Amino acid sequence: MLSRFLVPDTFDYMIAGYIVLTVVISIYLISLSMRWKKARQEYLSYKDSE
Amino acid sequence: MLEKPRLLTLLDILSGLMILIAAGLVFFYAPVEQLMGQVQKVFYFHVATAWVGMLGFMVAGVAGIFYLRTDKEKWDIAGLGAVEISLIFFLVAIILGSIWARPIWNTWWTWEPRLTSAAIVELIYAAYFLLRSGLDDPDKRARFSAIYAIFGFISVPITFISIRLLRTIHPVVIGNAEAASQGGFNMDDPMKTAFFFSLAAFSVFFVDLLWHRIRLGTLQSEVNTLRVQSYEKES
Repeated sequence: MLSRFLVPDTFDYMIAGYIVLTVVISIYLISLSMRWKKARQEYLSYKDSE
Repeated sequence: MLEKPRLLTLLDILSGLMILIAAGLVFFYAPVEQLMGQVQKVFYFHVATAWVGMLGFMVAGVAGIFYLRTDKEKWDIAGLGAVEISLIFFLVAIILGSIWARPIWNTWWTWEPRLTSAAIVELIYAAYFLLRSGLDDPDKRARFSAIYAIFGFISVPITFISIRLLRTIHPVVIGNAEAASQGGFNMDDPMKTAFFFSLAAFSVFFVDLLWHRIRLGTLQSEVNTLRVQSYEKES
């Protein structure tokens, strides 16, 4: 029972960690998707002009 | 080339599901560690992202060997993709470690062997992109990048074993810890389940991302070829 009161409150750090993880990986996924769209558009425009 | 393979769509779904299950295990199944509190839950994805980082650097080294042996562009594209993904994941691992260290070590950063060697690894692979951007000739760029990725990988096992060989405060979760380490803990069965499932989930996610990145690299290469052909036609 006593140990429940002795567990340190580090909840904010855990949330900060998971926010960083989600944000950084989301940015990478968005960048991957945008680069694919751009390359696809260019590819199609070159193919159309052939 | 533009059509997405069915297997890749399945891998997208599988990796997404596995990451969600891993998060569920971390938050709702693994117990709260009594000495560190909630921040210990950062550990599961800290190790998983570091693992993916190291795995990708190894893939880049292997792709480099294959490129030097075959001279095929696909190996250069694979190596570039692996380094790009791993650089992101390794950066996340370093930041997560720093966030964990603040309440446990009472500092965001300390120049001990594991943190220092991890920072060096990150810088070595960041320089990989500087090297590539400095070379205009595609063959030379691919060859130099392959050699760099092979030699760069030497830094990865050094980082991995640094906490097992040197005096460090970084905890060793699997294996024997250095007496000076701070923040170590013994994993019970639910913790082990969350830990190993997170490793598996991030490994599948890495394969999924690498496949996407290789498709992107292949398409970009095709666009470059078409661009050159178009200029040649005009002139």
